[in-house]
Amino acid sequence: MVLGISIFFVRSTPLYLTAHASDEVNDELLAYLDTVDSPIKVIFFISNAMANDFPLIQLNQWMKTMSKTIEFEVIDPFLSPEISDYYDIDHDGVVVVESTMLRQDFNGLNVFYQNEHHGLIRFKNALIKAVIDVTKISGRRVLLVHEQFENPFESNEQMGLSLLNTIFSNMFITPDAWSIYDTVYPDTIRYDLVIIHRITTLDSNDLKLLQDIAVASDAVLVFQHPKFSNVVNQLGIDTAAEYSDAIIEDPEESLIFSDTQLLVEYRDGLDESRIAVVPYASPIYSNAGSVIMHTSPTAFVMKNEAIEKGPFTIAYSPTQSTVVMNTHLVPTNYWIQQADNYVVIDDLIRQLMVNYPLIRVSQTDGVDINQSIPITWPWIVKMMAILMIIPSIIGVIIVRRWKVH
Amino acid sequence: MSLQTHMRQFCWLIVLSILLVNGYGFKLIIDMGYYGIHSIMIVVHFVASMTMCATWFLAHPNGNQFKQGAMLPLVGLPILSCLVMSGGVSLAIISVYVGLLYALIICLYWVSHAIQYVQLEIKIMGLVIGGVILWGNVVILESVPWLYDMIAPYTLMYHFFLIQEGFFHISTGLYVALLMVVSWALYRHD
Repeated sequence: MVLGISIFFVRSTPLYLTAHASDEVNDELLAYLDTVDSPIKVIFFISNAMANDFPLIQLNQWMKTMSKTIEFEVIDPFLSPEISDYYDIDHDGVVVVESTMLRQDFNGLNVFYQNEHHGLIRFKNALIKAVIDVTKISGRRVLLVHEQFENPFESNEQMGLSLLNTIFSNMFITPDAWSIYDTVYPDTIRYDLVIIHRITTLDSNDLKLLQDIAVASDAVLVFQHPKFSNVVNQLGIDTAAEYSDAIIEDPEESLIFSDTQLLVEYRDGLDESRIAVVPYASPIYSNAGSVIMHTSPTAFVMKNEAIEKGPFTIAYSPTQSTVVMNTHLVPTNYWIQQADNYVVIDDLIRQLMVNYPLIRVSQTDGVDINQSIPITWPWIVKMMAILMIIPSIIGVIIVRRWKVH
Repeated sequence: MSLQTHMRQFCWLIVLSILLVNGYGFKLIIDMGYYGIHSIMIVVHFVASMTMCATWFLAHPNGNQFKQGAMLPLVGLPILSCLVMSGGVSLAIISVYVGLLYALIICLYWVSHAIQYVQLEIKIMGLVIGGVILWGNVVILESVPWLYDMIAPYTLMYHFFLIQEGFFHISTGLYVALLMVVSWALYRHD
C-alpha cells in the first residue's frame, strides 16, 4: 500500500534519469527557468485522432522536468468547445503558451510534420522558444539603423521592413529605429541586437556613433548594399574582408526567370536545411569567421570583363556575435516572403539574440539520418547471417547442451 | 515424449523465434533505416518475450523452469545489439528496457506459479485479461485529464512508453517494485 500511495505522490516530481543526452535542455536555460516565479501554462489543443502521433506522456514529463511552474495540458478542441472559444482556437494542433501577462501561440502540427526526422525535437524547441518569449518580458533592446526618412518597420511597401518587425513582435520586443538623417541620436549605445540595413553614406559623427554602438552592443546584423560596402569596412567589423560589388549570377541554382535571384541553402540552428531566395547578392572575400551562406559552384560574376566562377560567400559571420550579408533585399517585405527567407532571418536573429541554445540533434548520436543503406546482395547476406543464421546456430548449440526437464 | 524429441522441438522453437524477431527487425532496417525503429522493435520484442515466457511458465508450472524461460527473450539480442552498435538507440535505453522486461518476467513466473493448479484455459484467459487491464488501455480516460493523471502511473503502458523514449522516472521504479511485491505475495501465499 505504501508503494501504491508513493507512486501517486511522486508521479509529478522531476526525479528521473534520461538516456538522451542530446535531448537535454541546456543548463543555463534550466537555471533561467528556475528564476521564473509566475506559472507558465502550456495548452496543446489537439484532437484525439491526431494526438496518437505525439508522445504526450513523455512531453508532459519533459515539461515538468524543465520547470516546476510549467503546467502542461492537452485538450481536444472539438470536445471542449467552451475552452476553445475562450482561447479563440479554431483549428487543430494549436499550442498556447501563456504566462501571467503574455501569450504566444504556434501551430504544433505544422512544426511537428514539417520535419520528418526530428519532428519531436523541433516541437520541443518551438515550446522552449515560446516559453522564453513569454517569460523574458524586460530588458531586450533592438536597434535598426537605416537611411530612410520614415521608419521602415512601419512600412508595408515592398521595400519596407514591417514583416521583419513581426519576428520581434513574436519575441515581445519593440525595436527602436534610428535613421542617419535623424538629428536625435539613440538614448543608449548598448543594445542586444543592432541591425544595420542598407547604409550607403555616413558622415564622421554618425560613423563614430555607429562604431561605438557596434562595439558596445551584444550582436550586430548587417544587410549591406553591395555597391556601398565601404561602410561596413569603416565600421571595423572585419577590416581584412573585401566586399565585391559584382552581382552574382547562377544559371542553375536560381529562379526560373532570373539568374540573379539565387537559390541558396542555409543550415539553421538545428542543422536543418532551408532554401533561401537571395536576390542581387555580391561576393564576400574573407578568411575570418565562418561562412553562413554560399552559392553553388555554377555561380559566376563578371570581373573586368572576365568570368570568375563560384562558389561565393554571400553571408558570413566574422565573429560569433556578428553576421554580414552582402545584399540588403532579403529582409524587405517582398523578399522575406519568398521560399524560407522568413525562417532564415528568424533563425539568424534568434541565434544572435537568444542566450540559451536550443536542443540540438547531437552528431555524436552516431546515426546520420541521411545515410543511405546500400541494399546490395552482399549486404543482405551479411545482415541475414548476423541477425538470423549465426544466432540460430548458436541458439541450437546452447539448447542442445541443456538438459530440458 | 522423450527428452530428445522435447529438445528437438525446443530447438525449433528457438530457431523460429530468432527468425521471427530478428527477421522483423531486418525488414524494418531495410524499410526505414536504423534511425527511429527502436520504438517499434522494443514493442515487438516485448510482446514476443512476454508471450513466450507466459507460454513456457504455464506449460511448466513445476520444477525450476525459470532459467529456461528467462533465456527466451535473448532471441532478440542480435537485432537489439545491431541497433545499439549502429547508433539507432542508446545502450542506456536498452539496458533500462531489459531491466523492466526481466522484472516483469519474474512477476509473470511468480503469478503463473501461484495459479498452477487452476485449469489451463482459465489460466490463459486470466493472464490475458489481467495483462490487458494492467497494460492500461481499457482503464485510462485520456479525455478526463485529472482522472488520467491519477490512473496512468498505475498502468504498464505509461511506464513502458516513458522508458521507450529514454526516461527512467522514479515512479517507474516504484511501480515495478509494487508489481514484484504483489506477485511475490501471491507466490508465497500459494
